Amino acid sequence: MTDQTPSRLRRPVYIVDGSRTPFLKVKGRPGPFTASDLAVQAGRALLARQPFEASTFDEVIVGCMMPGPDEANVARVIALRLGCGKTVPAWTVQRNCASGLQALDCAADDISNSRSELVLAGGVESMSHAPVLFNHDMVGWLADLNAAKTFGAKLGVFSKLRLKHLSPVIGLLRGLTDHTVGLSMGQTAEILAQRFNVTREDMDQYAMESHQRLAHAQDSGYLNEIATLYDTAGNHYSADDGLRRDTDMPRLAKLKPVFDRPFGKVTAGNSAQVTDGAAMLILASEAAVKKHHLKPLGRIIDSQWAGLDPAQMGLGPAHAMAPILQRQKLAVSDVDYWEINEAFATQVLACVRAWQDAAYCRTELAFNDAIGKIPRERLNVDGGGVSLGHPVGASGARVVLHLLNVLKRNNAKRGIASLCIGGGQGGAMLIETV
Amino acid sequence: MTYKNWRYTLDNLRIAWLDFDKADSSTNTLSSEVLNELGAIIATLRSERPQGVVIRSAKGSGFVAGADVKEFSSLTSFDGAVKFIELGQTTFDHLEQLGCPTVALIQGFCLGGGLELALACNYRIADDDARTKLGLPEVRLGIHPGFGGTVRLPPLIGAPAAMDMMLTGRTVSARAAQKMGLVDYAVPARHLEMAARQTILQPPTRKRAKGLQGLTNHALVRPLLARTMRKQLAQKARADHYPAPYAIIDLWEKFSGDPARMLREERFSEARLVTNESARNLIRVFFLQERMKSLGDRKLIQPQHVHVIGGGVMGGDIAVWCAQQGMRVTLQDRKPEHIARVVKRASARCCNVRSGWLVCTSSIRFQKCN
Repeated sequence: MTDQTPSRLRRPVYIVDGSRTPFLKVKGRPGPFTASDLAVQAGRALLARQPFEASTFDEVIVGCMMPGPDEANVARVIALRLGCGKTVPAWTVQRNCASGLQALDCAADDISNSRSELVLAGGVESMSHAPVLFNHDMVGWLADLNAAKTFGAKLGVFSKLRLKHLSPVIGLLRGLTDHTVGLSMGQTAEILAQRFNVTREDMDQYAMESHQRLAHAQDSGYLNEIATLYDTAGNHYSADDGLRRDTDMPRLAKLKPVFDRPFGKVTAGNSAQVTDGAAMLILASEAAVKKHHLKPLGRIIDSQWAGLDPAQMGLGPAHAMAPILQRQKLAVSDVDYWEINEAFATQVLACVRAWQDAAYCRTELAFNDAIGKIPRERLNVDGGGVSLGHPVGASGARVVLHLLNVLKRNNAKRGIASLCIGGGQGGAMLIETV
Repeated sequence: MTYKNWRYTLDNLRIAWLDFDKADSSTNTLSSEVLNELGAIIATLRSERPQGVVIRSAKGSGFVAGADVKEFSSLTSFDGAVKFIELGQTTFDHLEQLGCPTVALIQGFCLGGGLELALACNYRIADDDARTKLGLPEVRLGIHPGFGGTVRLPPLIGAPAAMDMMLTGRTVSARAAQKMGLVDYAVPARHLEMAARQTILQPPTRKRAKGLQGLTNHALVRPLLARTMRKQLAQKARADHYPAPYAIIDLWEKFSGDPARMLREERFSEARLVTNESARNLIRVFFLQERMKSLGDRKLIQPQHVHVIGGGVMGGDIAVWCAQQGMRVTLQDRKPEHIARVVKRASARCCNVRSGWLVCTSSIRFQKCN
């Protein structure tokens, strides 16, 4: 193991193996799997091929943005269902769109500082199970009803029920709306399009490529990180089902803007799909690798979190990846492959353009000059959120797992995985194959 | 006074705790010796006038498995059978008329005569564990309940539920039993004693089928329902081969309005069945099954992980069964369709697992192995 980038971590942290579910597009109704169902099935496939028992883990860390009401601390539910046993502690982390990456980062930290040797970490989201809530008026009305003791009093409360009480709060939409600036995530993408001059054609072109790349990856068998899912009705799911093989520019051009109506550019076609999915990885210390005779896929070298204007949250990757290059003294060309989660086509394009923009790099990223151009042929080579979906909590773990897969396939060494984060943050992780 | 099969203690609240612990047996069953002792205890209780009586099992295996099959299968004469049945009926009648609150505390199986014993108590409290099973499976041996079960059950839970239990012999869980009114409370084991104590100190209203369910036992409704039941029954069993279920319907239709008469008719009907050829053969099958079960050595192999290759009907069901026994199961097949079919079967079988998680228990791992 020579020629390795010096790690920020005190002890080497290895990524041993990983597995994910296919990402299943949300079709309105709650899907067949809850968050823990998804993670458990990904985890079972992963654990079945390990030489150690599930109870060997020192901890289980799972990223999830919105665990269902029945799955508070969903990581613990997952750990117990996977047979890790009652003595293995488990915790859930939440950093919106990068929750899965946060889980890996926490696991890496715990291994680095000798708290753990072997950690199961990943991310999951069942967006189709996002809660739909009563509004405040309705909750108040229910409280009044509960407080009314006599029949007359109850009748009085009933007379106050209005139609507006019944209008629900869609948890998913609220979760995807910024609390501080009041913009939906799609609107922050519109702002980036304006700032970096991303045209509708640019975004649609990017989206079409995303689908084409995913189709090619599926046909070439590149997605062997996927474990087939089985539901209770006897169905099985083997591939990301958001892929549209028939996507072309005229079809994409026909779609209407969904966030800034009627004049915006961001459409359902050039945004990430709402999906259910999970990705689980095994992280290990050198000692654990030796003890269990594991063959790691790669190492975590560095990671970075960044904060920026919530209204331009899509630029998060530009802000999180830059300090890693600086700290590791790497140029853009030193990194073999890049995975920037495709929350919106615009947002990935804006990140690429921001790094080519000398003024932006000077004022916002404290570089002396433009950082450089990330080549499109090295970025999201097998598609991304636009084509295969973005199950919020899971994507962070997926991009790292898939990046490793891409590096291995191409006999490459170094890669950066990154995500933008709702609320105005970015997260990035530098990994290397071993 | 000490007894061979029962332990009897009076606590400081003057509640009598009757622990059934059949001598030289791992399971509680009702033999004439057991019933005679119970009769003697009831006679003592009548003069002692305790605050209340709790009947429970001292066996880990369950409450009561039923009447002693060995004993009643040896009854070859009609008169002998009547005598044995009468002993049970009279004992339970005395229990019912004790004049103080009586509670059956049910953990594990409570079957046949065991459930009839519980039905003769004023209240039934069951452990809500999945191992608790209540039922009247007599029909499977070609007979029917004989210790007052046919008399007491329909008024308690209504004819449709009662007849369903008796005609099919199926068992119900504690929760289901609570829902249908068969038990007063289904509670976690840790609360059983407290529940019994409180029930005796502040006796609640006794359960009884009400409303529509209550109406099903009305004299005008019975003939109609009985006709439907017979029709459905005819599709499953022939009267000349399986007289028992038909006898149950007859008893209920003709005598349900008159408990004393019905009890007498139950006795004669049951005595006729016990000595009948059909019951004798079914009982023989039962003994053969029991023997076969005891032949296998359960301790010989205790696998933790079973890997099944091939998810066809055989392989799939072996996988599901192993998972149900708490083993970790991996299933390998060429086609995901085959595995999907097995997962479906597994989840259909295990839908009553308490936690309600998808696909059986956490111990099952269904997947394709590479």
